[in-house]
Amino acid sequence: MSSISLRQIAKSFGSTTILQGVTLDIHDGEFVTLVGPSGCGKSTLLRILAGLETADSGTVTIGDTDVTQTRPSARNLAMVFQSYALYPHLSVAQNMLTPLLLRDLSAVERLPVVGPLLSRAKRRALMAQVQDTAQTLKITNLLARKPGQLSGGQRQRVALGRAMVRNPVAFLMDEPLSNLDAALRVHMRSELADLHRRLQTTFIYVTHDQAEALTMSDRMAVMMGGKILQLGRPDDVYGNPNCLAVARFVGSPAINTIPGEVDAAGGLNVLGQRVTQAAGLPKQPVNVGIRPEHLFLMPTGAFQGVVKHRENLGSDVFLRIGVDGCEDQIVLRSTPMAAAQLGETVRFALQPEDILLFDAEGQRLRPQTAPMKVPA
Amino acid sequence: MLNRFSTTETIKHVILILGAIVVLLPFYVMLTYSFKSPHEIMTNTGGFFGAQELFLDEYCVARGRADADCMVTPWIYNYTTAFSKAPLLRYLINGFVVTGAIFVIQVIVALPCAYALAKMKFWGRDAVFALVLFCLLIPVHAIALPLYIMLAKLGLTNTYAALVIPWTISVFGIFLMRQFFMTVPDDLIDAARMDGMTEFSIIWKVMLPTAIPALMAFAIFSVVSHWNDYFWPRIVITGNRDLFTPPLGLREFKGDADGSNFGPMMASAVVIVMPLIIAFMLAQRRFIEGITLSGMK
Amino acid sequence: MMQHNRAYLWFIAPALILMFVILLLPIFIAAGMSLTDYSLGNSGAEFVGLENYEKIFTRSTYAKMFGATFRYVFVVVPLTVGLGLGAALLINSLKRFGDLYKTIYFLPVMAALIAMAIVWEFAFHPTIGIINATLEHGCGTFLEGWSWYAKGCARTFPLWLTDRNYAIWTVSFIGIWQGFGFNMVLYLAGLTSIPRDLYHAAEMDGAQSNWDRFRLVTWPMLGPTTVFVITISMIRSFQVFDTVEAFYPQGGGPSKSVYVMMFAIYEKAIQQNLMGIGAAITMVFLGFVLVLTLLQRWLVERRTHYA
Repeated sequence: MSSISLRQIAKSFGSTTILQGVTLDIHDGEFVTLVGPSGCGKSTLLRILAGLETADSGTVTIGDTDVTQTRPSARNLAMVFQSYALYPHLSVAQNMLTPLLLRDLSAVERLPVVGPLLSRAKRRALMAQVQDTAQTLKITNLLARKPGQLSGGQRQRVALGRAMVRNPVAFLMDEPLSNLDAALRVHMRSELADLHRRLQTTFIYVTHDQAEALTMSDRMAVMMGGKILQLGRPDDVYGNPNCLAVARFVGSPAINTIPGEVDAAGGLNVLGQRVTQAAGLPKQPVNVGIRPEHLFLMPTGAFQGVVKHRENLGSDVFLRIGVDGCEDQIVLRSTPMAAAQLGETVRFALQPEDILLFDAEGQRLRPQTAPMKVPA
Repeated sequence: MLNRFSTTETIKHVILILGAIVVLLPFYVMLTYSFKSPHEIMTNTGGFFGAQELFLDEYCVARGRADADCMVTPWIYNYTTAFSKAPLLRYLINGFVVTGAIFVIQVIVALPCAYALAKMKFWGRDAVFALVLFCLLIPVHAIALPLYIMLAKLGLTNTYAALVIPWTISVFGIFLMRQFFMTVPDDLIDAARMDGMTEFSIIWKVMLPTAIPALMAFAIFSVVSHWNDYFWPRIVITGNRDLFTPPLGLREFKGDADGSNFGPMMASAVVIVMPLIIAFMLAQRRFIEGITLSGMK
Repeated sequence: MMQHNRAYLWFIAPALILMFVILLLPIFIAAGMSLTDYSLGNSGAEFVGLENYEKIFTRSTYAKMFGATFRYVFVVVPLTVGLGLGAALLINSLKRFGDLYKTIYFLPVMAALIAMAIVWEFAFHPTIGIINATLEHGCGTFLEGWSWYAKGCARTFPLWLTDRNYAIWTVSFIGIWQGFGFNMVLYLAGLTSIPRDLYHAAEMDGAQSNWDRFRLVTWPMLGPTTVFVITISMIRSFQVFDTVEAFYPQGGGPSKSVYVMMFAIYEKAIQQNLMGIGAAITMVFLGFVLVLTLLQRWLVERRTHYA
C-alpha cells in the first residue's frame, strides 16, 4: 500500500532554523511517534507532511507519489489537532460530514439550499458513513450536539471521528491528548493503541511526553534542535540510546549522569571507584549514565551518600542521594519496604553492564567487549 | 496556501490603494486649502502647497493700512487668521477642559460601582447589574431633548456644567471596568484586606493600578467621542462663544464664511482635527483597542 | 467582609442616582411630554393625548423624515458593514503594509465629523470642488461612453449636496466614508480570534478554494461580530446629525430629502420650541434603538457557540 517518506526536509522561519534536513521513512500501518522538547521541530515536520507548511527543501512521498507540491486535501491524510479544531457552529454529525462533503460533492451540490436538493441520495450515503464511524467510536448519542456541549474527552473522540470517516492513508496527530486531564490521558493512550490495531492504518503522532511515545508507538523518533537524534523501537531507544540527550529525554525520572574517567589502562573510574574495564577506549573524561532502576541499595555497596529527598509513589520509592564528588543528586529506585529514611546514610551499588558511557560531547561510547565485572 | 502568486497580492494592493485615495481625499483637501491663497482655491491651482505668492489682505487694507504692509503669505495668513478672527485657542482650551472633566468624573463614579458589582456581595447586586445592562441600550444623544429641558429648568444652559453633566455617568465604563475587575483574583483583594486596607483604598490603591490598561482604552474611547461631539454642545450652548467647544467654533466659522475665508476655515479644521490624529498616530494600537472596546458588549 | 458590609452603598449610590436622573428619568419626562403641547417658556401645557404621535405617522413632513432616515440607514449599514468586512479580509490576507491601510482607513473614525463635513462640502462644491473638477478631466475619454457621464460633460455634473435627487446619497456616502473603518477594525479583531487550527482542519478536510474556507470557517466564526457590527452601525446611522446640520442648517436639505430623525428632533424642539412633538419623535427613536439592540442580544445568545 502506501509507505510515507520524508527526504532531507529543511525549514527555517526567517533566521531561525527549525528543521535541518530530516529524513524519515514510515512503513505502512506503523505507529510512529515524533517526540522531543518544545521547539524541536516535530510539529513543523508533521505540518510539512500534512501540507499545511511548505518545506524550504526536501521531498515528501506517499506511496510512489511525490506530494511535496500537493495541496493538503489531496494527500488523503487526516489530522487530529491539539485544540481538536472542531467547527463550533456545526453539530458533531456535520463536523464529521464536512470532509466527506468537500471531497465527494461538486461545488454546485454544495451550494446552500439548492445543493441538498440535488444531492439527496449522495448525502444519505455519506451520512451512513458518519453513522458507522460514530458507532466505532461509541459517539452515536453525541451526533446532534454542538462541540460547545461536549466534554474534553468527547471532543477528542469527535476529532478522531472526523479524521476517521475519510479512510485516510495516515492519521496525523499533533499532541491530541495534551488538553485532557491526567487520568483521561492515560485511558486514551490505550484506546488509541487499540484503535491503531483495529484500523491497521499508519499513525504519526507528535508529542512532547516521552511516556506517550514509549507506551504507544511501534517506533519512536526523538527530535532535538531540528534533527532526529534517534529512531527506533521504544525499548531500543530507552535501553540503547545513541547519545546523552536522548538518554536524558527518555525515561522518568531522568537517567543519572555522573562524571567519570577512563584511565590509561582502560579502567572506568566513577567517584573514585574503579567499576569496570572499558576495553578499547583511550584515556578521556566521560559521562556515566545509569538509570535509577539499575542502582540498588546494598550494605556492602561501593558508593555512599545521604538521602536528601524521598519521593513515595506507592509502588516505588525514588531516593535522591547526595554523594560527595557528584554535583547532582543521584536518583535511585527502591521499594517501600527497602527504602531508607530521609537523612539516612546509605550504601548502594550498580551492575556494570547497565552502564551507558558517553564522551564529553555526549556521544555514546561503546567499549569493544562487554565490560567485565570487578568485585565490589 | 501553497504557492501564493504575487499577482493576487498586487490586485489586493490596487484595490486597497484606490480605497485609501477616497479615504484620504478630504484630508488632502483640508490640508491643501489651508495652505492656499483665496485665488488659488477659487481656481483650483497651485498644487498641494500652493505657490505661496504674497497676496493682499483686504481686511487689513480696510483698516487703513498701506497696501505694502498688507501683503501676506497665504499659509501664514490662513493659520493666523484662524486663531485671530475667532478665539480658536479658547475653543481648544474649552475642549480640553470639558473632555478632561468628563473623563475624570466618569472614572470617579464608575470605578467604585464597578468594583462593588464585581467583587462585593450584597443584596440586589444582580438587579443593579441588570439595570446597568439595560442602561447600555440608551444612547444619550437620543434623550438629549428631555435632558435639555431639565438643564434649562435648572438654569444651567450655557454653562460648562451643561456640557459635562449628561456624560458624568458612563454605564459603558461601569460595564467595562466590572468585566475587567472580574478577572482580578479575589486573593489579591483578600490580601489587601488582611493588610488592613479599607474597601475605599482597595479601589484606588489596588484595583485602579491593575486596571490601567483597561482604563487607558476607556480614556481614549471617552476623549475621542467627547472631543468630536457636536450634537450636544450645539443644543445647550447657544450664543455664548466663551463656552464653544472646537466643533462648535468651527461651525460658527462656517456660518459667516465668504470666499476669502475658505483658507482660514480649513486651517481651523486642521487645528481641530489634528490633536486626535496626532495622538492616534503615536499610539495607534491603544487607540484602536480603545475604540473597539465598545465591541466588547 | 463583615465590617465592610455597608461600604457598597457608598460605591454604587452615585452611579445609581446618576443613572436614574440622567438616563431613566428623561425617558419618563419625554414619554409624558410627548402627550402634551409643552413648550419652554410657556407656563401651562395642554394634554393632547396621542395627537403628536398621530402627526408623526400621518403628516407628509414626517413621512419624509422616516423616508430620509431609513434611506440613510439602509444604504449606510450594508455598505459600511460590507466594506468593513471586505477591507478586513483583504488587509488580513496581505503579507505587507496591512498596518498602513488599517491606519489610513481608521483616520475618518478619529476626525471630528463636523470638520470633515465642511471639507466634504468643499470637495462636492459644484464649481470649485475637487470632485467635479476631477470628473471634468475625464470628459472626452472612454468614460463618455457611460450616458450619465456624457450628460455631465455636456451640461454640468450634479450639484451633489443641493440636488434633491443626489443629496441623501451624497450624505450617505459621507456616512459610509466615516464609518466603515470602525467596522473594519471590529472585523479584524474578530478575524484574529478565529483559531488557526480551524483553517488547517478545513484545509485537511478538503476546503480548497478561498470561498470554501470562507463559507466553512470565516463567515460562521464571524457571526457574533457581524451581528454586533450591524447593530452598532444601525444605531450610529440612526443618530446621524452632524453632516445634515452642517450642510442644511435650515429645513433638512432640498425638499426635505435629508430630514433625518435627530435633525427633526433638533429642529422641532430646539429651533421651533415644539417640545411635545420633539419628545414624541424621541420616543419613536428610542423604540427603534431598543428593538434593534434586543434583537441583537437575542441573535447573539442564540448563536453563541462555545458555552
